[in-house]
Amino acid sequence: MAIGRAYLPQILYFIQRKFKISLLMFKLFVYLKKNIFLNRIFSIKKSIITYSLASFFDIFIILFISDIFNKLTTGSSSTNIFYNVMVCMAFIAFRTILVFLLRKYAFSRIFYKKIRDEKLLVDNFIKKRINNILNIENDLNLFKEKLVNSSNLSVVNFDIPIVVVFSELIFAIGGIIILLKIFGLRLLLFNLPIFILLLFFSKFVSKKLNILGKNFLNYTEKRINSIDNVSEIALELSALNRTENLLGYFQKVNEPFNKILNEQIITSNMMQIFTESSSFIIILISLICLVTNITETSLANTATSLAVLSRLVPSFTRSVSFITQLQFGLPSVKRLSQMNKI
Amino acid sequence: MILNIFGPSGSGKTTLIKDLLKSNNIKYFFEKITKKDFNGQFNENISISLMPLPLFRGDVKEFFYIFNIKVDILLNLNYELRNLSDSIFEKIDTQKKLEIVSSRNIETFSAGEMRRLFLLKSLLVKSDLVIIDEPFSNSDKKIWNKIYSAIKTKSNAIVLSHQSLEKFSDENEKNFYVNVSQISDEIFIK
Repeated sequence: MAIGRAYLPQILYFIQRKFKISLLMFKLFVYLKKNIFLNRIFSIKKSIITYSLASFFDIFIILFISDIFNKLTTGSSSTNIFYNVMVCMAFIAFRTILVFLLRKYAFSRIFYKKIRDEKLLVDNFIKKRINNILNIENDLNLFKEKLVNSSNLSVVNFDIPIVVVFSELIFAIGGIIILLKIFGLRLLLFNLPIFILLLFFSKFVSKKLNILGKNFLNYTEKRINSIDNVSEIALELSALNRTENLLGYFQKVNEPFNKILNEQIITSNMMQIFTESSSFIIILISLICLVTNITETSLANTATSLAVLSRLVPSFTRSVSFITQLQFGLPSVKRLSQMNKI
Repeated sequence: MILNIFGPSGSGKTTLIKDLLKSNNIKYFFEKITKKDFNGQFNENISISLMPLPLFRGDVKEFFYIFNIKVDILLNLNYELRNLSDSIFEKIDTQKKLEIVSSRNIETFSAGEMRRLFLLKSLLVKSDLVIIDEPFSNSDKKIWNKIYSAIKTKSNAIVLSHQSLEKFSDENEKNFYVNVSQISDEIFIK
């Protein structure tokens, strides 16, 4: 046994060399396993898969529709036109129903998980209450904030954006491949400055939203405490008929809270507007390419590219918008991951 | 002048007061029994401290600020209120001690200290009438006299208690002691 132990480091070294497991890889694996954001993404995998399936179907149906467009632009018989139009409408109706059902299921799974997490939050709080009996104020405010606010924020500003971004990126990649096939790399090069500008702007907006997200959580905690206090001593102030100071006390927290909400909406809107403007420029560049025949595109391909762009541009806008919106939800996800520390 | 309404637990003292407050009749009620005149101002300037105590989460300074009481006043109290204050906080005679007391969270006080703190607050607030429910609750008998002396500093007070407070009063005091069961509905007719 003692001899075996002496050779253990050499054996481990041999195993490491043999299977090429480096310390760095091991550390990376541990980091990924412990990463709260990846864990949360993994926990909503069913929603991501279902929502992404909807995008897959979208791509295929667009291909079918573009095939019909192709037939319409090259065919001449009026009977064919009627038939093709009816088939096209059928595909569109099928796509609408299928995508709706898949997305409905995806969102239901997210909220089912939310209900489960909130139940766990309450359960943990009750079980650990006796151990935290001396730290009443912080624990109670934190518990209330998590249940009332962070739980909702995490779903609205993290889970849903993640699910949408995953699926929209799948669609966007598919759409970009189709466009590259039609226009070639030139289109990408012409639009590169717009993409770089968009990247820098979204980075600036993301940073701002992250800070706003942290401040929002702090002020929500204070606001809940303030509301509780107002409800408790309102009777006494009502009898005195002197409410100014109590109102001032409440406003001291409520005003900054609402200012942050306002800032968040303005910032998100700013990003959305900028993304939409970038999308217009991308469409403009694509149209110029078509009209001037820089990319030597046929009429049929023109119709296909317009069909793809009509779906790709909103998808692109949504993806960028949701990725920046994620930043507002990161602090609440971090806070909820500390469930066991209540 | 103290109007002491006494009766056992569950006899309806607090309910009576709450009903009077709700119908804006509390000063009228006080007027009718004590013959005190509030010059028709019935709906305001009533300082109350009813049981159960409100659950306030914050520090002493915040608490006092909401009731428009400057916490510095704790350094300049009269004799009776100072005795009451000393039974809640330790003796406040320096600015440093005042700062320590000001930043203390309300929920860290014991039940008795919190009762006396709410009582002190009610007495410090500028009002025409103060209503105190069970002022001796959770307090040691040794300081009941101090509590009663502090209440007497207010010109008009309604005090709800289990037993009559007559044993605390001097001969010179013109107080009123009413058993809650003796209060008839006629008292509410204006």
